[in-house]
Amino acid sequence: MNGSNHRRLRVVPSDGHSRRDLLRYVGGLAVATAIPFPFTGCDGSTPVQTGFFTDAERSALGVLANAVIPPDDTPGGKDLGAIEYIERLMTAFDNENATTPPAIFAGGPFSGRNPYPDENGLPSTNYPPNSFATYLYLDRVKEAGWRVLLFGSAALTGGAPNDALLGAVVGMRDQMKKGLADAIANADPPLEKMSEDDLIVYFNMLEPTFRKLVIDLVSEGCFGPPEYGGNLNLAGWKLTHFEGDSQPLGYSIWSTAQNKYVERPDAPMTTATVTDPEPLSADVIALIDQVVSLLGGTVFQS
Amino acid sequence: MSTRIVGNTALTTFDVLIIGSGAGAGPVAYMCAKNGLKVLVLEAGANHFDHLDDPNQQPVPEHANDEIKFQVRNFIDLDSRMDPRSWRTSDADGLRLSVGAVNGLPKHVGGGMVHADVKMPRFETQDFMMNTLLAGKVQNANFADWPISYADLEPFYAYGEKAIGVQGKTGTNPFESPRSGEYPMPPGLAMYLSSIATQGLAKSGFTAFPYPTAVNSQPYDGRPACNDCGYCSDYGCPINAKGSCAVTMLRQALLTNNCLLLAETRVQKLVMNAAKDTVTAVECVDPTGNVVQYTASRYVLAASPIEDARLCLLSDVGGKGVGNSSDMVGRNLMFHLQTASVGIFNERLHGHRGRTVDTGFADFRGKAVNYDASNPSTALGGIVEISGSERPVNEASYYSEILLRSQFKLDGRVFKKLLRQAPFRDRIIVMVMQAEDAPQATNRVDLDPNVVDFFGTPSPRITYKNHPYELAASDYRGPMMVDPIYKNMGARWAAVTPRDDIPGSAHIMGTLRFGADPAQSVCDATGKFHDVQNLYCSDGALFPTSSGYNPTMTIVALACWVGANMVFPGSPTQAIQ
Repeated sequence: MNGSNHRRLRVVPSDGHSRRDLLRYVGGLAVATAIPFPFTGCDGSTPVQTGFFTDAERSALGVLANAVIPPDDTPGGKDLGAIEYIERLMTAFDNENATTPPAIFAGGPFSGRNPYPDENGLPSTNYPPNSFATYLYLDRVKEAGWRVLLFGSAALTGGAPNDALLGAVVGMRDQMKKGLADAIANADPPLEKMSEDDLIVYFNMLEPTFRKLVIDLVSEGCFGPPEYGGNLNLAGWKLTHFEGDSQPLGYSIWSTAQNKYVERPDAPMTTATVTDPEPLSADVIALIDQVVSLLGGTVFQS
Repeated sequence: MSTRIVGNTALTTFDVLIIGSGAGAGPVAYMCAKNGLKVLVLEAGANHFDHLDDPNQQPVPEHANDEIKFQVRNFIDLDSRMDPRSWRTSDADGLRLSVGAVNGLPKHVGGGMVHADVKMPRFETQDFMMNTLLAGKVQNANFADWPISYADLEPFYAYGEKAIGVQGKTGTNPFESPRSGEYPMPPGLAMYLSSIATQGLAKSGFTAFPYPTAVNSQPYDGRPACNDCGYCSDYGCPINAKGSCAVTMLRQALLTNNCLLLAETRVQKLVMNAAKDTVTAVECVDPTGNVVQYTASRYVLAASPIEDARLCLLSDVGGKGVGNSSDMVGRNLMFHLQTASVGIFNERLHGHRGRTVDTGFADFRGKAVNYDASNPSTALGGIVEISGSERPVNEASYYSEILLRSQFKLDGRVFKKLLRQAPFRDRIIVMVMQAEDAPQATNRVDLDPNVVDFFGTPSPRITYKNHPYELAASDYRGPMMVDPIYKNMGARWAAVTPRDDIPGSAHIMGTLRFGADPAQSVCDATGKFHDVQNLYCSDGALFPTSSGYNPTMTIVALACWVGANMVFPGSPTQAIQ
């Protein structure tokens, strides 16, 4: 959104991350003189699993995925592939070896979903291969970072940098297992038998860090490129009216025959959208009114 | 997997060793290599291009239209645990307030320019003489005139624009300084939202213009025209339509046969002679973890201002730092205070179709007038970028942040409805104003006494607090974006968004400022360290002041200037003829 700062726009003031929270990092310890860390995963000490979730966990996660993205006239989070996305991330290093990179970064440059343009700036019948389908190797620093993120500080011999100052990192795999275990244990009735309204109440009572992790991962699984395991049949992009990746066709296509740009009639760039597939509804308008008021902004049309 | 060793592998001795491979490095490499000097480029991060040194085909990038890869999993951004930085606002905060991401730039071949949307306006004549224009009226600031003028740099702006391929239209920004020629390419097509913005700005009395960007608006230099795929800012270009230095000047340097690039080779320190006035080698960690040394006759810091200063400090443990007799190394660190606003519209604007930014206006920068601390309109703001591009995973995180606030609850039915109707993705225009950061000696980089990176090397600590000068500019002009501008665009809602606590502008300047006086600056007018006879800097670390325009074009021009002076001391224009 923001062309300059390469980060996400902060839409609303955060509830958390206060100055007081930041102060917990203030401390004093000797400078470490560590030499590069070998990965504990390389010598087999990281447990290897082919499936990450148990049936019970998978069932519970399906309920939570549908709590985030409920099924309606379009698929919910479970059927959009959120579980498969999350499981692939949790097991990203399971099959990693000298010939198979970890399942972290899909390749590039093209997915093969869109064709090359022809000389007139129209879609050709020539499609590139899907280079998203294979993963990329990570450099040493990136690999260390991802191992710590997934497995925690134990992924590196001697722990993650600054554990002594900041505390050991709990890996995302452990966060997910613990969060699911608690969500299952505390549910009464069981998650699978909760009414839609009860599920909303229960979901909002989940431990906040786990709740946010589920929301983020389910969103990624539903609306990211399908090569990561989710967005089955591109249904996540379809329901959001999002066109997904567009290379190597793009939206303004250079015609080598005419020496000028040609636009796609099906997806105009410089002109208005002819029909809105899903206009703003009254309840969404009311919600935006509230959010803009929180920001101290202005409602020009009520 | 892309190769870690690129260029002429037969080279074993080097005239020039450059640390970094981004906007401050590529031009120096090209200036030196095309004039016969043997150049070694050391890049800490990975190389995401195949065929970067292949004269028979364009590079093949690993970049893609992939939101998970770039915006969620940070393919090219710093890992905040493995490459952490710490931050505080002043000594009074104690050792630090936070540890993690603090205004990092990507570490990979091509540097931050690869994933930027490469907005490339020049600075103006006034930006080189702010100390004179402000006449000491800004209290507790450290403004300084540049040791070179806009006129000195203009030929290098023109050369750099041609080398990387910049689109734009002379005369459309009413505040631009004289140019020796037209932009190399005309403006490309503008997004639909830009036409709405332009009309609203005109109604408000402001002048929109095509934003100068290093994006091809036609086939150029063997690279294709941009097809406006929309995955621009934060994303590497899958087709090389963005003229990052990786695929332009660095590649051109590699094609001379006088240049070798080693990726995943992280310089840990400069090895100095006993007198500390000569660099004798650099010590690095290679891709397999071995500590190795490389030597050359001359050395260039171009790893970005924070890393440049960090390296100077790491290289003189127990001392003041390499080149630091002035005590200015690491000081006068500047970011741009960015004032962001959002307008939300009833209609869909499909801002994901197009370059991230194709239109802007500079009325909030304007011309320097007599500064009066009691009159905020006299504090210069900056250029304003107009954009709207967004994708659904990021969009979902906005909605979840909203719905998880205490005033609301996460109701999946509402969450999904927001994603389907897309008010914060498909119906927004975002404006971001840069603002001149007043340089302050207390805003600085030093070494955190406790925090280390993956290699156990002390991390940079950022001490940074905004000056009332830029806060006044932001507070005065931010509300003007809402009313009259968004109002006149026809927005239904508009607001200025909250500032971040921790800096994150990705515009990083200062720390090794250049100037004529060795007591007040680190480098001289050619980028050479006052204190070290064979050490140079060629990136934004040299900037004495920050302007209110995006810095990258000036970094490229300045790197051309530094490289040209290394090749032809005293007559640098010979290098670009």
